[in-house]
Amino acid sequence: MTRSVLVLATAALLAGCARPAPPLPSAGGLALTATPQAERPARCAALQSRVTTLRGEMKVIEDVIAGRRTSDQVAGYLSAVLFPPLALVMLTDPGAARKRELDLRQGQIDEALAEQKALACTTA
Amino acid sequence: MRLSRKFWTVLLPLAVSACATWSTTTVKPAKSAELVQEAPAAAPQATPDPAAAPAPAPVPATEPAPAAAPAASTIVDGVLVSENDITDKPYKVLGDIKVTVRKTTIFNADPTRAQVDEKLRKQAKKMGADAVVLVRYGTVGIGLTSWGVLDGQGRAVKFD
Repeated sequence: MTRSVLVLATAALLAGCARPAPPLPSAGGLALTATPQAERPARCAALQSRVTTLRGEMKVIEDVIAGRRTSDQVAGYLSAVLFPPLALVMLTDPGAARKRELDLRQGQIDEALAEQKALACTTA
Repeated sequence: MRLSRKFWTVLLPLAVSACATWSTTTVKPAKSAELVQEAPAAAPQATPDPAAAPAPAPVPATEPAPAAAPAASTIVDGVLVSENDITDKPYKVLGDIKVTVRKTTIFNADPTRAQVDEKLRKQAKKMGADAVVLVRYGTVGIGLTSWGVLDGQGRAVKFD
């Protein structure tokens, strides 16, 4: 009985576990890049566009994670109740790959923001 | 006595569920070396290469650089909370703030980014900050102590 409860609880936890906020970049900033003055506006615009695109992609992934949260949890419960070995499959968070994708994009956004700062692009 | 026990049995869950969320905040103060982050006055000029193709038309020095990426930024209570960095103004880093908002019971609504922003803003105000920049959020899910957890981090800064 205790074991069943433990399996259920573990499956439920891992099937819909929270993703922590990605760590903040170091406060040191990026070394200035030797971008010619003439190319600076174009580079700033490109960085702006890149950040917007990455944020858009993150939104899509977050929506997918939110949409699947309930079904992932139900799958975790059912697998634990109907066929406990299946719960082992659920031990790997089904949304883990998507969460890694989010962290990856956040890292790319941080790089772009650091370069914007180095180039002194105007803050929106 | 029996009435009193019933009273508390009803009142306690009501009181707990009335607090839809509870939160924790941690602050990592900036090291002294990180304190001042000057925004560069201008990007450095590249040395022209005589062998290179003709350079494009020069951009007048007075022309402003294009705007940085728009993201959710709000100023409430005098504190700006933004997912972006402040790229054109020097500031001092006061510290990194980490906030975790949890829903109290399984029946409460999941915590939102607005609630995380509010906690970040409150902590930043306590620290005397003008803004919280580089704000990022986790994803809502189950945590060890709650059925719904959302955390967020940001850097508290003060303009020079």
